[in-house]
Order: sequence, then structure tokens, then C-alpha cells
Amino acid sequence: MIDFGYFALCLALLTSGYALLSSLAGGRSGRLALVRSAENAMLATCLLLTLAVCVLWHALLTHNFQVRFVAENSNLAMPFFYTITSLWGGQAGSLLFWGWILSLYIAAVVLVYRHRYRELMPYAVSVMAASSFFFCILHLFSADPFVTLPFKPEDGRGLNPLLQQPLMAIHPPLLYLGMIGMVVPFAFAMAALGSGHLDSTWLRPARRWMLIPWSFLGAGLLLGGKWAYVELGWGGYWGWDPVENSSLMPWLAGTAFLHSVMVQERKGMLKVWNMILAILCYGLCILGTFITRSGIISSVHAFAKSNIGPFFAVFLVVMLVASFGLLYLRLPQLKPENRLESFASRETAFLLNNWILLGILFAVFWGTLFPLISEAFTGQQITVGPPFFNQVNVPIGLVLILLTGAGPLFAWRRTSEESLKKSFAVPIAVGVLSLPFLLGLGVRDLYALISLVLCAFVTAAIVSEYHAGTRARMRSTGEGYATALYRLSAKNRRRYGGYMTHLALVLLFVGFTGKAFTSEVELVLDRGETVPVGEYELTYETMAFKEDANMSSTAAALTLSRDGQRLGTLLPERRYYKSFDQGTTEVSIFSDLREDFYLILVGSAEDGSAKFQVYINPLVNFVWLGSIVLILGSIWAMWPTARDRRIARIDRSAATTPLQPSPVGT
Amino acid sequence: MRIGGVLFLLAISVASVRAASPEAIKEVAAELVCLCGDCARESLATCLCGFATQQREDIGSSLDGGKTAQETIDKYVSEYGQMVLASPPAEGVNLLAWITPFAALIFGVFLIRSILRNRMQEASPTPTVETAQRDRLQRELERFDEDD
Repeated sequence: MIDFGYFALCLALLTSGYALLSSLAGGRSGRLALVRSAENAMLATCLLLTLAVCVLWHALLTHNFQVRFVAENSNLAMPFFYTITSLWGGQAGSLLFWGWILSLYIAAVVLVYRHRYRELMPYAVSVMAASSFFFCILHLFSADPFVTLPFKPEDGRGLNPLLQQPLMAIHPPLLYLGMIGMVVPFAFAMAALGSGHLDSTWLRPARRWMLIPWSFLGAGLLLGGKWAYVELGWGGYWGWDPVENSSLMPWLAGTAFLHSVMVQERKGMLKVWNMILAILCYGLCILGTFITRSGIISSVHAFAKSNIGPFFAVFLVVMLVASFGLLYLRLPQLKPENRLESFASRETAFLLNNWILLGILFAVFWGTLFPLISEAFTGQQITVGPPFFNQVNVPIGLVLILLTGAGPLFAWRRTSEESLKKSFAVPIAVGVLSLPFLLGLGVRDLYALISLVLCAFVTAAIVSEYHAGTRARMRSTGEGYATALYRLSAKNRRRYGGYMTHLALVLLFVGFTGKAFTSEVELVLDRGETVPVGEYELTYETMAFKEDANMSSTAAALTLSRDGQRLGTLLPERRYYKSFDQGTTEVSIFSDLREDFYLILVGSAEDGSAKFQVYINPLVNFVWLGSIVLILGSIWAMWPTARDRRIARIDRSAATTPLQPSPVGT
Repeated sequence: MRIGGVLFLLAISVASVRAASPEAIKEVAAELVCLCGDCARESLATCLCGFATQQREDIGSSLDGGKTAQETIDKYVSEYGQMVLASPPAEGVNLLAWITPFAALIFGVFLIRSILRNRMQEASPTPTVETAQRDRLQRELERFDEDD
């Protein structure tokens, strides 16, 4: 059975290698048969990798511990669900999973664009096939998931206990879907450069296929934060860990790309810049994988050290040299089509947006890699931790939120002073009026004040954009407010979906700002003892100990109340997983919109007393609320419009007519 | 952030009498990271492992002994090296860590300014036929959508 998997991987190496070459040859010669056969080869690659993944899943579910990956990442005691998810719990399996998702993306692109973008597709398929080919090399020569042991162990080691958590089961797939998908916009950018079709045609598929992985990546990042919050027991959700940073960077680059493509679509400007961003997005995904997998920078997420680093390093260098080289060759043909008419325009706003996003990206990049730089100069190891990232990024982040509100208030081409005054009046008034209100609430921290005032400003700006659009529609159509609002948003999905994600950013920033008001206390309590904690009273009731084959656990039961009213029972717990010699903290949280009461069991003493750590985290739920709005906004923007459906109809009817051979490149 | 299993459930000592407040201890600890080897350099202020708990006790003793926060931190640096600091000290080569991100932002401002200047002066003053057509097409498609 296992041999099937290995054999499938060997074949996938051949089919993807073939697709890479024949697609390129087909694109250059204009021979449709070659192009089609390359596309079919990529569909075959997808089937083969699906087979390989199924074989590994089968091995996991049948507990075939002869397979090293199965022995190292699962055991008999694990529930069905985590046996499934242990596929991405270890190095080799997660890379196979990665390669499989890549092949799914490629197959989807091939199927969706069977009749569209014919001048770009041969090159795009070739570029994507190159990535797939690279991963097949990894599967076979560096991280073979089907390596067998010379003996069959009785039981496996099991999945890392920190990963035995529902959020952690879905967090990696979402990140993978996010990172890998960025190959598609990159491939279309390269296809435009390679084929010489340098107009804005490539932007449409690139933008679409950027929005999908970008949404997955955002959701993955936020779920990862949620996981850290409930599982790691330090009261926070973002630790600026190198691996977190390396998935944040492509997300920032993707955000910049989604904004700057609009300038090229509308105005034919920023052509070179958009190419650079597309390259950067995928390059940062590869860099992130390199950082995660090579263990080059110490991190919580580090996988077992392996020889995989050099493979990624070479791949990254080849990819960057080839794509920037190609871009350099095409530079003379990438001249802007329009001139800028005014500084006070949407174009400028988008440039500033890109400036600040790339500024954050660079700060994160710099901080993540700085330990290497510093060590090279001084020979001394240093740590670049959260205090650094917070101090550098908070001021830049405040500019970002300001621009989020201000940008959409500018019109394309030029904005008259009069219309600027009109559109800025209400948002600025709301921002200014929120200041005494916040001071009245007792907010004194300077950054927190600035942040919340800006959040009020941005919210007012977004709401007035919706309101103005709705009013205009009501006047022209005579619809009621709700109908007009809905139709307005449904007709311009990109725009209003975009505003929804801006609103999500506001919610996220409100949540981030809550960090300024966090308080904490350490308590040592005897059984039955009640102590006041801020507005709460906490009573330590009892402690229970239990043990099974997998782990031993100690859990405390406490009653939480506020103003004499019982809020509930908190059950903080510490677990110890024997096969991993590892402890985990299961925090217990009482949550309402205003704040979280976050309780950790630290330890217990012989006399029955126990030590607890309490964090009071105000506003943290706005982060999760913002996450949901972010996802909804992305879905809203992605949802096919009437025009998309029309194009699809035309496409289907075109499928019945014979195909034109694609034009010869260059 | 992995929690060392060796000291899983800590036998806690009955809180000793301290002059230094827990807040003062945390403030010092927040400048440092846990170097127990298992915790991937988590902040010493929040790390839950036994090593970190002991270190916080040590910080408390140090403060009680009349050392200032800075002296306590310096003592840690001389003992463990600069690695124990949560963020690089703003001196020598490490000054680059702090300056570069902001320098890059300022550079970006000048870059954008020069790009905007160029675009206002150099590029052809009239839209090319292609974009003019595309603009019209865009508008018509939008109208078409409205009617849909």
C-alpha cells in the first residue's frame, strides 16, 4: 500500500516536470496540443498527489506504525479527528499536504480558465508546474513521508499535545491555503512578462486569485492568534514569533497588491510596482516556509531540524533571480499610460497605502532577520522580541488606520478642496468628539487615545460612505433605505466588501488597543477562600486529579462572580503528556464583549492551596469580532457579480466553438 | 512557549515577604526573555515554566537587596549575554535595528514624492486611446450592471 504512495510521488515528479517544459514550449511555439497536454499533465499531477495523500491517511488510520511518519505523529490512543489532522502535524506529512494543496490550486486554475486568458495560460501553467515540480523533489529526496522503519513498533508517539486542539487542527490548513495560493497571481504576473502581453489583462485573474489566498491567510493568522490565546497561557494572542511574522509578511504584501492593482486597472499606472508586489507575495511565502522549516531562527513553531533548508534557499534564490531578471528585461515596455493629475487624488492615497503597508512589512522583516545580521557583525546572539516589534509597529500601525479612513474619501484623478471639506467634515467631527468621551471613560494612555480616536474617525468615514451611496441610490431608484443599501453593496461588491474589511480593521485595532489596559495578578488561594479581583470575586472550590494512558491532568474549580452575581465556574487545568514529556496549560476564560477574565492554574502545594495567574484583558473580543467581519467582507468581495456570471455564460458557449490557437509570445 | 514538562506542577512556596511589588518584578521581567532552552525565548514576565518562576523570584530578591531595575537587568546581561534582553539595546550595531524601519519609511516618502512629481510632469498629458476606451467601457459596463 505504502509503495503506491511512493510510486504516485515518482509519477507526479514526471508529470509536473513534463508540464513545466511542454507548457513553455507550447506557449513559445503556439502549438495548442502541447499546451493542452501540459494542462492535462497538471490535472494528472493533482490526481497522483491526491492518491499519495490518501495513502498516507490510510496508513495513519490503520495505524501502520511501520511507516516512520505514522509512528512519529500518531498513536493508538488518539481520537479519529486528530489522527486525520496529524497528516500536517509533522514535517514530511505537512510538506506532502502543502504539495497537494498546490496541485489542487493548479488544477482549479486549469479547469476554470480552460477557455480564457489563453495567451497567458501556457506560461502561467509552466510557472505553477515549476513549483509543483520543486515540491515533488522535496517529497522524494528530502522529506519522504513514506520512509519505513526496519521494525514495526507497538504504538506510535502521538501528535504533539499542543496541536491536539480543534483550532490548531484547522489553523495550519488555512495558512497553507493562504501561502500556497499566492503562486497563482505570481504565475500570471510571470505569464504577462513571459508572453509579452503586458497590458492589464493579467491583473484580473491575479486579483481574483490573490483575494482567495489572502482571505485564507488572514483567517489562518487570526485563528492562530485565538489558538495561542486559549492554549499557550500567557494571556496574549500575538507574540511576534518568527513564524507568525513570516505568515504576516505575505498577508501585508497581498493587502498592498489588492489595493495597488486598482490603480493599474483604472489608470494604467504602477505596472512595474504590481509585478514587484506579485513577486514579493510568493517570494515571502517561500521565505516564510524556509524560516519555519530550516530552524534558522529560533521559534516556537520550529519543526524537527532537517536538511530541507538548503532546498528552499535555492528555490527562493532561483525564483527571485528569474522573476526580477524577467521584469528587468521587460521594463521598457512597462511605461505608465496616464499622468497623475493631482496630489489630492485616490491614486496618491493608494500609493500612501502601499507605502505604509510595505513599511510595516519591512519593519517585521527587519526585526525577524536582524538577529542574523547582528550576529554576523558582533558574533553575539541577540533576541528581537515583542517589545521591539510593538514599539516600532504601533506608530506605523496608527498611520495605517488613519489612511484606512482617509484614503476612500479621495476621488480618482483629483479631489476638489470643496469636496474634501465635505467628505472629511463628519468623520473629523466624530473623531474629535470621541476624545472627551474617551477621557471621560478614563482612557489616559496616549497611544490608546490616538488609536481609539482614529477608530472613531474611520468608522464615521466608512458609515458616511455607505450612507452617501445609499442616499444617491434612493434618489435615482426610489428604493427604501434597506433595499438601496443592500443593492448598492451587492452591485459594487469589491468596493463595499472592501469597506467591510476596513471596518474589520477598525474592530481589530480596538481589540489591539485593549492591550494597553490589561491588568494581571498572581494569587495563592486556600480551598474555600474568596478574594476580590478588580470588580470580580473569585472563590477557589476544589482540585481534581485524573490520569489516563495519554496524559495526567490537574484541574481546579473556581467560582467567579461580579456584584454578588454568580457568573460561572472556571476550570483551569494543567496537563502532562507522558509520551512527549510535555505539559500544557488549559486556561479558563470568562468572556463578555467588554473584557475577558483569563485564569491560569500555575501550581499547587501540599497543603491544598494553589497558585493562579489572572489576566483581565479588556476589548480582546473585538479582535475575534473583527476576524469574523474580515472573513465576511472578503467573501462579500469575492462573490461573483452579475458580470462574472455573464462572462461565465459566454465562456461556456465559447467552449462549443473551435478554439483559436494562442498567439506566439514575444 | 512549550512548557517544560520536568517542572510540570510546581510545588509553590508560601509567598515570602517582599519589599518589591509584583508589578515592579514584572516590569523588569518584561525586559527579559526565558532562556530555559525549552520555551523559545518567551517573555520572562509571562512564561509559566519553573525556570522563569525561579528567575522572577531572583529578580524580586535583587530588587529587595537595593538594586535598581537597571542594575538587575545589567546583572542578567553579564550573566547570560545580550540574548537575554527581549529587544536589542539601542547601541552599536544594534542601533540599526531601531533606526532602519523608520529610515525606510522616510526613504519611502521621498521615493513617492519623486514618483508623483515625475508622473505629473513627464507622462503624456492625454490618456492613450486604449485607456480612454477602457474607461468608457468600464463606465458602460457599470451602467449595464446597474440595470441588471
